[in-house]
Amino acid sequence: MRLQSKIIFITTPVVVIFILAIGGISFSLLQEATVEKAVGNTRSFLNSTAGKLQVLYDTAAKDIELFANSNLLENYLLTTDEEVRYTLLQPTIIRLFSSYQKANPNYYEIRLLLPDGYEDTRVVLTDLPNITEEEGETEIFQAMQGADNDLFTRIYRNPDNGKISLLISRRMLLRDPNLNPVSSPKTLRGYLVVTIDLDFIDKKITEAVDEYGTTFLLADRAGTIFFHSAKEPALSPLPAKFLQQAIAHLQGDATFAVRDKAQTYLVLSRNVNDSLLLLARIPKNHLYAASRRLGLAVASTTICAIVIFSTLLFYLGKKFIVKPVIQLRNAATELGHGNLNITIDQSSDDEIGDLARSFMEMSNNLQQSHEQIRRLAYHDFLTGLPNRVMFLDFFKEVVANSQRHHRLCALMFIDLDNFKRINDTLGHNLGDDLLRQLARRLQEIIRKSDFISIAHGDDDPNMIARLGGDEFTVLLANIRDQNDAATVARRLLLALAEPFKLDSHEVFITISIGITVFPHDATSEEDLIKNADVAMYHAKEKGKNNFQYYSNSMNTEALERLTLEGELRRAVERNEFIVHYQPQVDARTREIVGLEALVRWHHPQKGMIPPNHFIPVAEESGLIVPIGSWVMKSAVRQIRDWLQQGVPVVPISINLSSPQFQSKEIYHIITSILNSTGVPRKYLKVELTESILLKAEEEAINMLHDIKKTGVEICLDDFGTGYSSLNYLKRFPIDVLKIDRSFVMNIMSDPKDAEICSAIIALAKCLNLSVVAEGVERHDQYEFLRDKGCDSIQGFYFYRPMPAGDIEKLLRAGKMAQPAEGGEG
Amino acid sequence: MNATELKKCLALLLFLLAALCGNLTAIGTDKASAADDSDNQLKLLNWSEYFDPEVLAEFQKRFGITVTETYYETDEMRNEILFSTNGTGYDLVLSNGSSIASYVKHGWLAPISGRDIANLQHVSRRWRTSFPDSEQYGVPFLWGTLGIAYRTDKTTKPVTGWMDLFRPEEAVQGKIIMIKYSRDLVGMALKALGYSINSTDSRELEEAKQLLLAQKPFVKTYSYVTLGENSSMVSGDAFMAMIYNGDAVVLQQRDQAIAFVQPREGCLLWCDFFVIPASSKNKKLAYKFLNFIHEPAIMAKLAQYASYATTNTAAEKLLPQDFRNDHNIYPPKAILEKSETYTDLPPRVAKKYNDIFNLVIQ
Repeated sequence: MRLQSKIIFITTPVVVIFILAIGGISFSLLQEATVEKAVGNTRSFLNSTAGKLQVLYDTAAKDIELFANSNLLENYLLTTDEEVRYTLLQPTIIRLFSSYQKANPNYYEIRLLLPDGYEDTRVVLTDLPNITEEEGETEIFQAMQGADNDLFTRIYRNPDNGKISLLISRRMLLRDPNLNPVSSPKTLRGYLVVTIDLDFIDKKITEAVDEYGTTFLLADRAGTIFFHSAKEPALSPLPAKFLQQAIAHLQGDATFAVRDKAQTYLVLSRNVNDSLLLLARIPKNHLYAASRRLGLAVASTTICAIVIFSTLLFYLGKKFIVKPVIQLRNAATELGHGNLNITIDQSSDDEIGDLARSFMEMSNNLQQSHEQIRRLAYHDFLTGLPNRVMFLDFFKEVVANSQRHHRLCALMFIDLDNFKRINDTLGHNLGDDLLRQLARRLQEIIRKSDFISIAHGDDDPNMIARLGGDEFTVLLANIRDQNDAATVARRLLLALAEPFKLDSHEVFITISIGITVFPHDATSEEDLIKNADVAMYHAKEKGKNNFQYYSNSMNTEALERLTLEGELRRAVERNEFIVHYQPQVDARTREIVGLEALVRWHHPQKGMIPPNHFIPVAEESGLIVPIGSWVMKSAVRQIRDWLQQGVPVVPISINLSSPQFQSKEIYHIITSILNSTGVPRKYLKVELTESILLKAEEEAINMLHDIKKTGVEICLDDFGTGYSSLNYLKRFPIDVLKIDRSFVMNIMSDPKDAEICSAIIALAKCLNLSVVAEGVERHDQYEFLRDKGCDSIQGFYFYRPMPAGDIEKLLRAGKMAQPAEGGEG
Repeated sequence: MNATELKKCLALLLFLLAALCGNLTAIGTDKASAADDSDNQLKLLNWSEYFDPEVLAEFQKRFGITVTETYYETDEMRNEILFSTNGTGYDLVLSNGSSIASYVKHGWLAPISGRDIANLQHVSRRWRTSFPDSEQYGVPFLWGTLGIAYRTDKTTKPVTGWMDLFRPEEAVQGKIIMIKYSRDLVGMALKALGYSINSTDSRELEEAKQLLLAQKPFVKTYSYVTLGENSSMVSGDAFMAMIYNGDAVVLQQRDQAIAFVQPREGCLLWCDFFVIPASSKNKKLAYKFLNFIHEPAIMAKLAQYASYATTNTAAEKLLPQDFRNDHNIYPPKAILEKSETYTDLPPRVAKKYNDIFNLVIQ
């Protein structure tokens, strides 16, 4: 049910019940009053009519007594001779009766009947025809003849005129005047009969009209109806049951109800005398007509009230409740569909107003949350810059726009140089801080470079985003010339001349930038991004801290590298690798004391491919792991072969790459190879770089200890180039330190490098570690290192890396190492 | 209360009645006789304006007997007076001939012997025997007819028959006086319709009743026209009346515009008789009175006074010629032949007459 209907359905019954209650009370009061009034009126009518009838009876009785006592009449009756009576005396009697009649005009017939019923004298007011003069046989005469009393009354229909009349008669009992006036018996001489007109009663009853259509009846106790009010057909004679009830209810105000032809009547009865009854029959439906009219009025008022009230409620409810609610609902729907810019009327100070205000508050909060979510979804939480997702969206849009409007746009790929190292040395927190500061600085530059892009609309056409890690992109939408991008790139590079303050440190960083321009370099976002990436790598390769535009050659390079990776993968499967060994000689004796296993790729078409060409690809692609294992196995087998052939074997050191080390398989590989070949542990050494240790976790460290326990020596490669920490030496089970070739290279020209080398050697001596110097190419270098106390020397000065056969010969020869000719080291 | 005292009381009652009628002469004589013994007085029940007072004075002068008159207006009233006293209280009663038989039957009358009244010899035998019992109980007085008196200046056409009275022309409607006596009313209606005045035929009676009832709206009053100077016929209150012939003559003498007609259908022939109630204690005085009035000279005087024809043939001879030639007093033979006297009706027919009469007059 709708709210509107609910309000109406709840409120209307209250009003309706109220009106119905008032109507009902009025209805019953009116009904009661009506019945009381009707019964009262009817009762008083019956009483007055009965009174009139009784007066009529009484008067008639007195009058007839008076008439009967007339001497003239007595003399007349005592005159037996008819001739005398009729010729002489009757006129006198007639005159007498006439005079009575003049005084009482309703005594319309006064008669003298003889004992045999002969009508002796008849005086009528008008020329009333006389049906018979011989009344002897008539019922009425026989009734008066047989009556107990001398006085006889009867209401009957006078056959002379057909009218219901009251007949009153009196026996004329006279003594014969010729006999003794006292003792002689009276004899019946005749009857004095007066017929009384009942017109006035008839009129009173038949014309009795009340507003209820009451029927009035005059009846005798035998049920004969004499008079009844108009319209209603007489029920003559009255049903016995009805009569009985009427007689039973004669007393007081008693009424009773009867049913007749689907009508219910209220009946009142009134006694007139021993024989006569007055009855009134009030139709109940008429009696209740007035109250029914009221009932109808109440009903129509109620309906009107419902209609008016409902309309009013409908209108008011609509205005003050439903409309605001619908507004709220629509607002909620809008909100549900994501439209957060909703304004609704909050002016009302009722609960709906409160709801509207709460709704607005909720909407605002939602808007804020939405903003936040959007920021989280589309922005980088660390720097606050747009993230990859947002960047891609925006980029797509920009590209589409540019295409549509034939504009230029540029994409820059920015990568921090050596960020890993910064993170490793300063920790992640400061690394993050650095990224934040960098982002701010880059953002500033971009913002200051609005002139570069032609703005359309309010939005900044340019964007700087962080894609992840230390990768940033700058999108320059709508540039005039592709050189504009270079301008921005230069500014960016320049902005980093200032150091960043991290905690208490001051750190200098550089970036490499790759630039690609739409539509010159590519037309799809994917290609543009790839190209920018390639250009960025190119910048790195160009020595970092510079920018490079993308060119097609770069793409070829990248393609080559991709090809290389494929070939490398195949090489692993086909075992196209071979191991070369570079001997390490004792600084003093120049005897070969060790070998470093170095992998070489013998490409079927390209011939030998140098390690620096494929090792980075192998590391990035993860192929280094199987390659490393293969090298390990080859080297160990070589030792076993040599041992079996009786070649004087020296320990071989094998490089472990970071992925190899992290795979944790390495321990098992080492032990299983050694066990399967039966090669003594002392002939195997492993080399690790500082960067591997830097990333090493507890598990790796434990593994390292395990390796050490097997008797395999551990050598720290490239020492001094990374974040060389003395702590490593303490934490890790290192046996050998290997001085990086970069120190050795300048050992004679740069005193600092010389000092560092000296210090490293001294440190190793103190820690009882042996020291190996690599990249030794010249004699003076060799001498310096020998003098400083370096244990072993590796480099072109003595030996280049060689195939196993050549090494076998050297080992079998067992002669002192001689400086090699024109080698690189 | 003995009988004498009762009589005295009645006498007083009659005296008072007479006083109301304004008959001063009667009062005077009554006063004188009231003190005297009842032997010297006669009580007479009579029509008014009928009996010459001078004759009564002469009688008193001659015999020392006072005659006290009581008047009745109609025959019915006379019967009623007698009925109310059961025929007592009077020494002489003037009655129409047709009533004598019923009085006799009722036992009210005393027979009159011719020997007691010598002057009966002058009285026409025809009249003495004209009604049942009239010879034995009555002494004829005057006779006459019944006709119509009318004002010639008010009618537009001459009145000749009874229908001119019963179905009157418009000019006289509402100005008619009818005699209030059942036999006169019903009888003349019967005569007008061409029936006998003594009809016993109920159909004829019914016709008569209807005729009377039809006439009723035009009737000014049912009584009898007065004869004095203030008579309504003279004053112009009435234009037409059923009237006894002699009375019409009296009225004519008062106003020449009044005419009398004895209808061509014939009329009633009547005769008045003096009768003596059986209860009278002064029968001898009554005889003297009756003998006195039939002295021819006295009778002639009486006839002339009342303008009626006398039954006394000797007196007739003493009447003037023009009196005797007056057709209104002595109807022409043609009228007389068609006229009737009332005869006794069978009782239940009489009753019918009464009924009709009562219906008409009420």
